[in-house]
Amino acid sequence: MSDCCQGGMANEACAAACCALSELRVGEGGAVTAEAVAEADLAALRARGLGPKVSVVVRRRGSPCIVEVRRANGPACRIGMTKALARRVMVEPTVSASSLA
Amino acid sequence: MIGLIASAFPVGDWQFWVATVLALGALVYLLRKVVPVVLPKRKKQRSRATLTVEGRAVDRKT
Amino acid sequence: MDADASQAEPVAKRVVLVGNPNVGKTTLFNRLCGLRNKTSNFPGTTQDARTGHVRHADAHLTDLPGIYSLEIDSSESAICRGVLAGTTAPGGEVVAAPDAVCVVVDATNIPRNLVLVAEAARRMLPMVVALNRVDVARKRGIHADEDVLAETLGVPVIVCSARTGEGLDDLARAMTKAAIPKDTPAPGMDGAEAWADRVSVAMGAADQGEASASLTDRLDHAFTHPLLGLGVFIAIMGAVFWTIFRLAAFPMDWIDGVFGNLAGTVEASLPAGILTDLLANGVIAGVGATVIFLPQIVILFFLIALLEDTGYLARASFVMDRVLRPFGMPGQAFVPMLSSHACALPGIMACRSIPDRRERLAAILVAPFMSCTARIPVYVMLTGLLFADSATKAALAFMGCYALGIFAGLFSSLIARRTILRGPSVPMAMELPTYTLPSVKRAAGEAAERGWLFLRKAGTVILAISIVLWWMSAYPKTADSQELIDARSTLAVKNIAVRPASPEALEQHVAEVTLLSEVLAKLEREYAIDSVRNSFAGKLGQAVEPIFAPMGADWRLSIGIVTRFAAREVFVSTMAVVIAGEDDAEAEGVLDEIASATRDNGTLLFYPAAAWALLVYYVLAMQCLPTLAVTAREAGGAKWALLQLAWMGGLAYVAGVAVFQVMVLAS
Repeated sequence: MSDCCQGGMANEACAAACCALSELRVGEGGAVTAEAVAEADLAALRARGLGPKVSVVVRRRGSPCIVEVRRANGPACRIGMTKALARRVMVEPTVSASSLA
Repeated sequence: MIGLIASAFPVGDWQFWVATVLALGALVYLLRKVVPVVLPKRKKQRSRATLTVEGRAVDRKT
Repeated sequence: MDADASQAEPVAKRVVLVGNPNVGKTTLFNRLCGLRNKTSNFPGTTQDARTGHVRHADAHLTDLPGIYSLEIDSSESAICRGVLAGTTAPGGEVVAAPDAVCVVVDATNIPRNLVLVAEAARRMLPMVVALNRVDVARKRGIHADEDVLAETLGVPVIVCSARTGEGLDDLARAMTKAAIPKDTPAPGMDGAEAWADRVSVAMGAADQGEASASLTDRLDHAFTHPLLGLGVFIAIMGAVFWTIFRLAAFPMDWIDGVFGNLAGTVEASLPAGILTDLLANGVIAGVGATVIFLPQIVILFFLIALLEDTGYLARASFVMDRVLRPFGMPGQAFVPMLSSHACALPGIMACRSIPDRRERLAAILVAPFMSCTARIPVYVMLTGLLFADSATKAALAFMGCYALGIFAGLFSSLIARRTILRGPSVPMAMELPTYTLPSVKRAAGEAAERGWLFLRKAGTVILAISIVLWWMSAYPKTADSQELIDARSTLAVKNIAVRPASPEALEQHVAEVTLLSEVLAKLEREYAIDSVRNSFAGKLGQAVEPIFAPMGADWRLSIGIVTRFAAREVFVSTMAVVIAGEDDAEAEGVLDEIASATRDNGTLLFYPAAAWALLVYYVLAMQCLPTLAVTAREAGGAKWALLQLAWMGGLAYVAGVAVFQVMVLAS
């Protein structure tokens, strides 16, 4: 698990289990939590595929933060976002994608 | 005076008038590009009408 | 009930095309409707709407904007909702719910696309699904079972490819046989997503995996790196502009020659007169003045479309976001800014891609600061005058003009976003398309469409301006001086005189004719200059001379500035006429004459301080009527166009005066 969760986030529901997308390292992934994408500002991201329970894998940290999004068994698509936005997307980290190889 | 105008503008030449009308038309075209933009659009007057058939109001649900 | 209704001719079904962006919806529309389509606007918006008739089918098709979801708060989604609800329609179309909805799904990304299918199904309108790009899906090993979707929804699902034409006939027929969906997902985005996931799994729409993920990662890292990415961006943009200037030179010279010859042919073939003069020097010159910029515009948009196809532009937007964000504009503003270097018209229209209203307005207001192709002849003339002995310095000054325009645009955006357009910036998020080889055909089509848009919107206005300027420059006419009349008749007599027989006498005759011709040419040029001075255009220039005098402009330069307001292109030819009495600036000796022209007090007309002031003024001033009209339309009101005019004009004037006064003081 990445070291992001030691920092503590404002969202209490995700206190121990969630991280901001911006905190994940390259290759690490997770499932987007429902609370993160409830805000109206993130509706556009959700429409592009970054919705609840969607698995994401970070491909680039920083700005832009590039994530690979995979819905159901469909193909992966890449979404880029600024770091400010990546800080607001909460994910439940899973095992890093690179370690599965 | 008339002589001056005649020498400055070939009023006796029909081509002058055709060219002037064309230039005026071009000017009006340009102004129409700008003036509708400058003048605010008038709000359309909405009017209500009741649909009737043979003088009786129509029940929209049927 | 009207007894004749059952015998009335069947009305074509009104079908709307809905789909995610970049699923091939517009390509599908073009294939189905061919050239029989028209473009209009959705009332109250700047969104274009294309409508057409489907070939070989009784269906009238409307292409709606690409959207990811019907439920999000965006203008495009609002338009699609309105059309499906029957509360809005493109201009000239019936305002009623469509007879059928055709949802275009990208067969290479079914799960994401099915979310929109779910939302459309909830509308309970007759529906058909087009599973497009099936050729690409097969290449990637994606074999989805469309029958599962058809069975689930109870609507026709047609596998097709807009690129190859596969399945299009079936799709056209299916549009007239659409059915109301029998399975509607639970409400809300959750319901739509859950339905999409379930159905896509049932369809077996699995992707065999991205074969080149590591290459994509490496390219993404390179293209979005703070330093390397910026370097790559500068190199690519440098290559783009170099290509434009190199490639465009040949067709531009050809066009210049064609229109020059055409004007000459018209003058030689038609009887001399006012209409011939109007045709040659008003209409043909006006059309030529527009068409000559077409090569640069078309080439730039071709290259932008190629770059967009490769997937690079989306990455470059993030690089530019770092540069533009401090000035209040998002990364998406970089493509409109780039386009504005060809022509501000399509650049301003491209600002529609910026989601936030304040950021979009800022980009629209500053787009004309980017040095467009129409400014180039003036840059070339003035930098050539300033650095006649050094081509390198002239080139650097030329590039400096571009830099000044960009800097002024950024500075103006910063001011606007801190004052009248104050508000938080919207963080940028974009889908990054897969890297692919660009489609030359698609890029050519895009470039042709932008070029035609330029001709239609700008060309008509510039032609009208040319005609008006021709009239204002031609009248009131200046009477021929007695000296000119005498010179003409003397030369005419000499030309028809019998040639002397002896060689010495012949030589003297030829010398006399040559001298008379030179004197006559000089008198004709002086007459041309006096004609302009005495014309309405000249009087206007003289009237505004006091305004531009602090900038170092005399009445001749003031004429150029005033006439240039209507059309930037005419400055060089206006200078050629008022200074050299010759309307072809590239005729032999004209540029030298312009360079050495003097003012009434004996000083050079284009002495350095005045030339620099004029150059700076030209870089910054808003001098394009078509651009003002488009600004008003795209920004949603005349006040924005007037603000743009006032700000740019004021900035240009202050800068021009400041440059002139400082240089005069310094020297």
